Amino acid sequence: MLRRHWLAIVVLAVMTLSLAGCVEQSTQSTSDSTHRLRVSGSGTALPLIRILTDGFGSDEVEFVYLPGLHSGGGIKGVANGDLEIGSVSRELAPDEAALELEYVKLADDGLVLATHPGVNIDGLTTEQVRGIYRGEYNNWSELGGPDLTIVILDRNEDESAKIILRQYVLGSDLEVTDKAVNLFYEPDMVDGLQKTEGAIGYFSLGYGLSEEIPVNYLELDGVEASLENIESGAYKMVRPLGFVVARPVGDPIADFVEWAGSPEARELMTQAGFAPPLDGQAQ
Amino acid sequence: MSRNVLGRHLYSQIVLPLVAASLLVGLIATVVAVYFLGGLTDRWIDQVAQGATQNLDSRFNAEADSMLRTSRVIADSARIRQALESGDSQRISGKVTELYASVDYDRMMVLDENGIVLAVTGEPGVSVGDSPLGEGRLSFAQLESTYASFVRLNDRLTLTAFQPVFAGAETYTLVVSEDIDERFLEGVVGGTGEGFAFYDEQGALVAGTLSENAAAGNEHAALGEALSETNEAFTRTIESADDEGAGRGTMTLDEQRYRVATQRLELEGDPSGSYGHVASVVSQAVTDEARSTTTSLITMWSMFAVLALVGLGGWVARRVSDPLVELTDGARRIADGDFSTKIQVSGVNEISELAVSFNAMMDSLRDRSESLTKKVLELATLYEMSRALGSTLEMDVLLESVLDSALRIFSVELGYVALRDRESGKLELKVWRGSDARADEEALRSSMSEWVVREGRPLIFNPTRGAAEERVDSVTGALAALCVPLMSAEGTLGSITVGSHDPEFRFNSDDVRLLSTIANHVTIAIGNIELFSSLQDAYLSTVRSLAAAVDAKDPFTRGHSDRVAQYSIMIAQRLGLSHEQRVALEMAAYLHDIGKIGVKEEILLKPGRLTEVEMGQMRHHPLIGANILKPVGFPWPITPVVRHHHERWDGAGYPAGLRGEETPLLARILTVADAYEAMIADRPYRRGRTIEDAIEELERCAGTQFDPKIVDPFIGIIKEQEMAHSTVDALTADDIQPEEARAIFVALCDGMFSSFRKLGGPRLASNVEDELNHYFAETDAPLKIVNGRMSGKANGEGPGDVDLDHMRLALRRIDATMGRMSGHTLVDHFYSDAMEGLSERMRRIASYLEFYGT
Repeated sequence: MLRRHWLAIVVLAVMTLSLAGCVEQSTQSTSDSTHRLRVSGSGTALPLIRILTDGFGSDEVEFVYLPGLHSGGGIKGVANGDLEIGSVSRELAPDEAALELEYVKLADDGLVLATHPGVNIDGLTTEQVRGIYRGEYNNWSELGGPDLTIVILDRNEDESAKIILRQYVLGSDLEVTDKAVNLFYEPDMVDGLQKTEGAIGYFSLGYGLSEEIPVNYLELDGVEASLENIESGAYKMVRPLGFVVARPVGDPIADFVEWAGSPEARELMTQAGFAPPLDGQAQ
Repeated sequence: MSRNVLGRHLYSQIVLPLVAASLLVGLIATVVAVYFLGGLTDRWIDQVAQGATQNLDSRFNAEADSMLRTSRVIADSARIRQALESGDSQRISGKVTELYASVDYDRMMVLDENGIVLAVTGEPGVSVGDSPLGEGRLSFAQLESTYASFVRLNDRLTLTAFQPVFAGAETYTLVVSEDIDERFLEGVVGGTGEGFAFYDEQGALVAGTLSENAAAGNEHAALGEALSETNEAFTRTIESADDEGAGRGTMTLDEQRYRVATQRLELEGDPSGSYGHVASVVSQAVTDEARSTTTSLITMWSMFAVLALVGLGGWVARRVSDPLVELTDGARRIADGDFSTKIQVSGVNEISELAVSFNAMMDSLRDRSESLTKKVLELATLYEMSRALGSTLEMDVLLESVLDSALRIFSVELGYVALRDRESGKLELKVWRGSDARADEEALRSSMSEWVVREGRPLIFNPTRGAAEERVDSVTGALAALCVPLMSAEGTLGSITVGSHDPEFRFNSDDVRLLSTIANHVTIAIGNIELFSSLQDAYLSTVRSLAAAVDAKDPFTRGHSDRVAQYSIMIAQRLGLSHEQRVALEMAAYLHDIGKIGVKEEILLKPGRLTEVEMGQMRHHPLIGANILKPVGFPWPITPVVRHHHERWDGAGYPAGLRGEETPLLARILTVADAYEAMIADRPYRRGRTIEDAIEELERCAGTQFDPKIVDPFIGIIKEQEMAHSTVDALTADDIQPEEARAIFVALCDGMFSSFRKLGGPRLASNVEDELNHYFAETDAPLKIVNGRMSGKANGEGPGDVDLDHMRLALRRIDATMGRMSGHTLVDHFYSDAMEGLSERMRRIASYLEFYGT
């Protein structure tokens, strides 16, 4: 009897205390007035768009990032109305241009060749790169590097990075060796370069600089991949980063497009390692 | 003082046990609560900590399972097998890198049969060509197909999955490992608990992390530090966990208490027997706070309950004890005789009812006590009064005593007693009390007494309340008065009245009854007094008659007894004897010679000396007298006086020959008076001696024949009388005024009539009166007798011009008439009676003027 009585008191006391502790501030739910803007498309361009959307700073607009779909997927998504913003990291193809979408170019992004940091060479020539991807070299010592097996990392042929690489380095007819490994996403490429000794691959310079990826960036034919060289045109291997939106451009999207061309946006992009077009070049 | 002691006793008897009991209960409740609560929260927190640890354990195992599944999938893929079969290191490394992109572990590598790394990707520290594992592990991997284990790689403890890959004839081992570091723990942990840690087999810290919630705030900073390096509290519990399977401990960091639970962690299906230790830390802040708060609450409520109980107990005790103390005091005051106490108890309950009953009892007791006191006072006063009534035979003394007693009983200051005169019927005021009482006849006539006596009923007069003060009784001026009649069998004797000046005073029926009782007593006493005085008068008359009879026998000693009586009374007065003794002496003096009746007349009347025989016979007369008187039964001691009146101081007397004071005092007085009278009286045979001779003889015989103590005062009396006589003797006829002579004549006549009426009665007196008036009318004497009083003929006032002859004639005629009616011897008696009523001077003048009948 007494025991039960005390138990009741204890339970009551504990309940009272725990209830008092449980009172929390209810989170402010997103109001209906905010616009949800779905973003997806080229994985290469997404980091740049993320820089812009983070810097936009409007309470009325919420950006929702969907998984990467490559440039073509982003364009199709906007055309279908599944996306509001589609990131694009290449020129529009003729059939894509016929979709009557508004294309906004943000910056030029250099494509850089890099190796695992354990490979201590400064650069390669275009021929050496072609040789590696043709499978002519097994070990870095053959190229003046350390005694490490060359692990070749590659991207799919429809990737903008591979297209640019073929355009400027490999050439359209080079057959890549089957020792090379195709990686589907740029982060996998970056990860592989960091974690596999002897690895070689290529990815976005802007990404590499903005994230300070600790890999060995290679000079190509003695030209360092830098913003200055890209802007000066000395470093040729660049791809345009931008996005498409549907026409006619609605109110919150128009504000974002306008803001993307503003000097503040340019400053943000430059700091991140991308090369924005000069004033007036944004189309 | 006693009240306090009593009060404290009852108070403490109620309150102290209550205080003790409630304190004990409160203490036990608190202790039990604290102990029980402590145990409960400890158990709870232990369970929480243990649960968290078990949770961590299962999460580790789940992680290992997941890792095994992943590695199995990778090992099963054709690409890695083809690469391995090709034996091309570029190809193998490429595949490993490609496959690694699809997993999320720190490191992935492929080993050959000898444990040499063929390809590796992931965290740095392991390179191609290294041999990072011991022999045993690889053989386990090859034999047991697949398992997960804790492996130290590049100086870091890792969770590692081993998966054999069969490529061609060769067997390779795919190794996927994850460093057990803070990041890994963060991914694994979840659920309750503020902190988690992983310790290796040796009890050294591998990794530790705060839970997401704990890391958010700042309060567990100290715990974060404790988790970042090997902590003694953990190692202790790890030791007990190794011994008993689970370890628990408590640590205090930055004044916060934490409960640590550890257990050994072995992965399922790990053939190498590797193990680590997982530890969970649960903050006891909440439970501590809950416990302390609850304890405080319980303690507070216990204290409150104790205080409330004590207060309630005190209140109840006061409620009970105060009235009891009051009642006790009341009872004590009653015992002391104070009935005026009232006990005040508020509220309606048993105690207040007791108090009401107590008050009622007190009232009843007071009433009884007061009425008892009054009764006792009444009884005491009545008793005292009845003693006074019995102890006096004098009317005025009696009435004063009665009135004073009555006033005392009624506590009033005014009162009086009025008696009705038997003959005139008028009320006479006898005694009264009160300063402004009017004792005149007029006031009495208009007083209450007049009505009361007439009606024979009591009368109360109480003033009307608030009315103007009115004097209801004209005699005393009382404002309230009570008057009752004195009723006897013969009628109303008078009344007794009491009254008060106090306008608030009220008489009631009890007072009437009481005063009536007093009146009855008074009536009886008055009856007694009257009866006694009439008895005494009757005796005296009888005695005088007898004396007259004796004197008649010896004409020569006529008036002897009267004179002896006079002398005796004078001596008695001079000696200050009591009334009783005086009466007795007077009686004895009258009767002292009654024995001479028995002596022959020859002897008695014989002139000259008696012979010896005759003398002997003569000496018998005192004894004869005593014998005659003995049967009469006088209320006074007369007989001894008569018997011994011839005794002598020297003892030579007769009949008994008593000496000195053996002879009764009264007899000795009588002896002296008798001898003196015999000496100075004339006898037929001799002339009486002179007074001087007689005095000389008395002085000579004092001490022999007479008591000298009697002789001396008597001689003084005689000499005083002689002085008075000598002044009267000096008078001549001229000195006597006619008015004085007339006054003496009237007084003498009145005295004789009065005396005659006493003996002869009113009828004879009336006859004498008529006869004399007839005579006065015949002789033309200017006299008339009205109602026994001599007066002038015309107007009833004193006799007018009556000369001495007329007076002498009238006296002679009165003498003759009375003598014819009653005998001549009695006339002398009447005459001497009348003479007694006169002053000495008047008697001398009467003798001088020859105012006597014969």
